[in-house]
Amino acid sequence: MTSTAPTPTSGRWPTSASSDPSDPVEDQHPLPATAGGFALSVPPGHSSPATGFLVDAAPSPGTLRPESGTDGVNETLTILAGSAVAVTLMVAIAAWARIARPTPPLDETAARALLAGEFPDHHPGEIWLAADGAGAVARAGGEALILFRLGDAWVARGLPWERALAAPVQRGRVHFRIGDPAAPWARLAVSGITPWPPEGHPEDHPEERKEPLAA
Amino acid sequence: MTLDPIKPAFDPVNWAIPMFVVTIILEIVLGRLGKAKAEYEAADTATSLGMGLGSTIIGVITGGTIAGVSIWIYQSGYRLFDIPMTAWWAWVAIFFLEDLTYYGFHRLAHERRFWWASHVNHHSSQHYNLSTALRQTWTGGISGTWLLWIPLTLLGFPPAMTAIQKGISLVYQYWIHTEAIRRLPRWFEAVFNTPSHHRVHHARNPRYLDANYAGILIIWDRLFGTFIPEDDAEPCRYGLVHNLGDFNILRVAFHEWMAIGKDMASARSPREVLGYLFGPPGWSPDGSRDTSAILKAKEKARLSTLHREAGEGDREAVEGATPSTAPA
Repeated sequence: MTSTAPTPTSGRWPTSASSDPSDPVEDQHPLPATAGGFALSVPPGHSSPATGFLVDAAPSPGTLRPESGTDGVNETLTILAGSAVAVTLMVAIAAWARIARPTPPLDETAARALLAGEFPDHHPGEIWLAADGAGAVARAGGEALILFRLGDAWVARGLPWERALAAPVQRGRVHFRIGDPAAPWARLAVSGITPWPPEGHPEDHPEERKEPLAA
Repeated sequence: MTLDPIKPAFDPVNWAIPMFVVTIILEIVLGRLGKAKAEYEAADTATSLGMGLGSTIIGVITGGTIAGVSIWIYQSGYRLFDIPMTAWWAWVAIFFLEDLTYYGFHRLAHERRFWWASHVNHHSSQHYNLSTALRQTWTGGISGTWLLWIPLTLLGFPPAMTAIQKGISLVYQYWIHTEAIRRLPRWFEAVFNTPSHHRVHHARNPRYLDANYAGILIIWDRLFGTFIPEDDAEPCRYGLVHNLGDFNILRVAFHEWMAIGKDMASARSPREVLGYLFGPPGWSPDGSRDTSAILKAKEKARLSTLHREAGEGDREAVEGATPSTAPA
């Protein structure tokens, strides 16, 4: 153990160029030093005396150059390769374990509970359920409240009702273009029983009229 | 005894990688056996671990430059003291100072959108398990939050010392990403960040938003008024206020940056540009979106209304019926 008191740097410049063998810090960082694949060094001849901290000290230009040895690169590549193998293993075990949350197909009660959590200030009217139960749409005023399953969880977004009505159906799914970089699309399954747009949807305030969205 | 003040003698994170793997597998197996609460969904796990791997790769690329700045400052003599790495008090000091710095960084990363954009990915899983801990940022380097640690170098802490302590903090924060541990002894919960405290931090329930920013010590949150205890009556629902629509790893990494770009393209004044960049997440010029503060206020108003309607005598029953406790 060497000196244990902090030493003010005032009056010494640059600290790294000190040749004082008793300086515990200087003992500890021989130049060039390396960090993260690069080495930073202060070239000799760029030191200048300074009389105070950060006031009149002129910085010495440092230079960055690639680390000379290949040990660091090899170590990094080894860690990355090992990590990739480990990731594959862990994902495989997670899939094998089957401990995801249960997300059975939605019924109206479940959809309503989820919508209440996601849109607590809205009052959804009748609910349209996706053919596979992996999504739902409800109208609340001029807004479509859209819910869809992702993995074992649910994602919700709002969309103007008129835009939702105009959403195209392709290959058995209605494609809602949400336009949010975090969730650009919601694609819900439709069928003859649950067509989109829902037949007989009320035009205004379904939360008040309680008319069915679907015929 | 000598320690290189520039190049860390060891990287706590690299050393901990085998422990990460073993404990994640252990958590999955215990969950499978019903011995611990643990929910894993394969695609979500793949995304989290993929983000961790990507973060490591990007760290190799950007880490040298970031470390280089700190080393340059240190070697150029821009420091108040020469703090020896071999002194015990120096490690005690950096433990507290680095943890305080982390608190500041973490609060900034949640409360200002520019920095939230690089941190949001860590909160984008709707799960809370050990794999979530490894859902690390890819853009932290470019967001510049690493500059917050520069004052430690200016004080005189060797860059290697700071790097080691940052690694220790990161490793500490790994194990608290679990639902398998409910509560720890009262004295520990009072001082340290724990799974319970950090569950609150990852929750999207309005009442839990913007809370518990601690790294290792929860004392900072208690000190600065951002501590919220976990309430068993309101289970945490994890993820974002507006969750991601798929598991695309590029979307996880960059969606908030894309959203900022989209908003800035529609901005009509410098004020709007600044608001979109540095306002709180959810800020909008016309107030049409919800910030955390607005979400909290709305939740409070809803609860007040329910309490009024039901009467104070049924307070507990009302709280049990609030939307935030609906199954998700």
